[in-house]
Amino acid sequence: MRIILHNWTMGKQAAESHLNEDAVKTKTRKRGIKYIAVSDGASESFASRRWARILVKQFVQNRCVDKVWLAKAIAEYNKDFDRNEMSWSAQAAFDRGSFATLLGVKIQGNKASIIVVGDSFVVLDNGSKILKTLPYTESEQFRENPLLLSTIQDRNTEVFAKIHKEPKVYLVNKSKLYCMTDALGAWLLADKSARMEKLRNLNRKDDFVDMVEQARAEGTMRRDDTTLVIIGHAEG
Amino acid sequence: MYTAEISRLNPSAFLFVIDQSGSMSEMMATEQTKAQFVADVLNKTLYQLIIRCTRSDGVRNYFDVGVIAYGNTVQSGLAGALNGKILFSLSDIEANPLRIEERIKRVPDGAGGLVEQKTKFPVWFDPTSSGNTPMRAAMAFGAEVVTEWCDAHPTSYPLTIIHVTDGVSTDGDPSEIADAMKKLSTGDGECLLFNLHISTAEGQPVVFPSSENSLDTYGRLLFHMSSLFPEHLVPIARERGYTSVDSTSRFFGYKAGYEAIVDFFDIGTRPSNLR
Repeated sequence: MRIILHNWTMGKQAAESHLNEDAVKTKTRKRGIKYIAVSDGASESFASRRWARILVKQFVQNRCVDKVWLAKAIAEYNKDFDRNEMSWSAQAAFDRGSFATLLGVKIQGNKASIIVVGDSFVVLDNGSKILKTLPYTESEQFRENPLLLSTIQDRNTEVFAKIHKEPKVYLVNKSKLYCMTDALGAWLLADKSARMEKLRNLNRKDDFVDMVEQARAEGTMRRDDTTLVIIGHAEG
Repeated sequence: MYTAEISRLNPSAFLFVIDQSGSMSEMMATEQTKAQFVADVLNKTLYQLIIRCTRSDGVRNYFDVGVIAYGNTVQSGLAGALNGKILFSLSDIEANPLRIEERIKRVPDGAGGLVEQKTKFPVWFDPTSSGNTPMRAAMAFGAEVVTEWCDAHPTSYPLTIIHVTDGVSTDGDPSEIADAMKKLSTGDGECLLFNLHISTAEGQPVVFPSSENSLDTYGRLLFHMSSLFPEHLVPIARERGYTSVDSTSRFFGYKAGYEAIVDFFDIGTRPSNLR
């Protein structure tokens, strides 16, 4: 039985995939419980690619996102930096911190639980109808400045109160979860029914790339790192 | 318009045109001269621009930056290794401040307390104030720089000129040249000219007005020299408390005090689509 049906990502520029600041990690733990994490590193921050990768790695190891969890992630982030050896600009940018979202999913049987920090986005869809979206319902909401997880501990004081949680979602019949980063989410919510149909019909990475390229060329999708993870039950 | 993505292959630019005439030696409420205060804000603006573009692998050249200073002469306001031209890449600016000062900052220690931390603060621009106000010559010099940059960057987000003055031009009406400068363009739109008049005089400052009605003759001249507010900067201005700003407002400040000066630089240096 497959759970992760598709996992595709695309950088801002096809030729610069090494600069893609989105991160995805999946892990199957005991009793077949599956953990999936998606993170979107904020472009205007010092080492957001590294920060996003640490967050997803840590979520699939331990999904209890609290102060202790975050302190451990920050310690891991800081491990490879020596502030005293940095140039003035690197030092100032390091002090300003790195920021990223976190979308975490736990799948146990046909039950999923979801947490979202920031503006990464998830859709529960039954194959013909969108059943639920989290954390937003309207495209305009993506223009708000979301609270993100920061590498500076004091900037995280409000973040725990603003974690969006969906403890029980059932993946029954043809239901699937579509986990994505913000550019794709904003594009989808701007024309829900037509664009959800496009996502339902994606089968190969090339289709995903073509769809994103076309939307960027039309100006309907912001050029940003774009990630889509589709979760559901399938044989094989 | 104003939607081009700003990248290392497709950078944008900022040209600061700074009045250094004798009257800039007047004291402000901050107990600094106008020249000192503007120099401080300009240094902080360059610092913030560079930090926003600094990643763990170095400074990304999303912008070219230059300074034209006018007073006794009209010349580059950057010195030391930054000579021979007006606009430099951000990484050149980062690598070549006049000096780096060390300041002590108190920062949260992560456990509810504060610790002292050494912070390096670079200085590129020192305050000077002498001579007349050759604004027309400064604008003409700026127009040459802008023309050259637009020719070399036909697909970029257009160059933004931020002009700061405290007085009336002493070498003739600059508005004709300013109008021509605003018409210089890239494929993404016309260049943006933001004018800031600073003052220590009594009276209510006028910041980002939509109408010239409350302005005197000189204020009206600067009002007409200024670009309309680009739409993507409207929400940023509103967030900073300028709630009446809309796309009919001019990017113009008149008789501005220190708070408006800081906001003007901050809002003016935030083009969208940085990637």
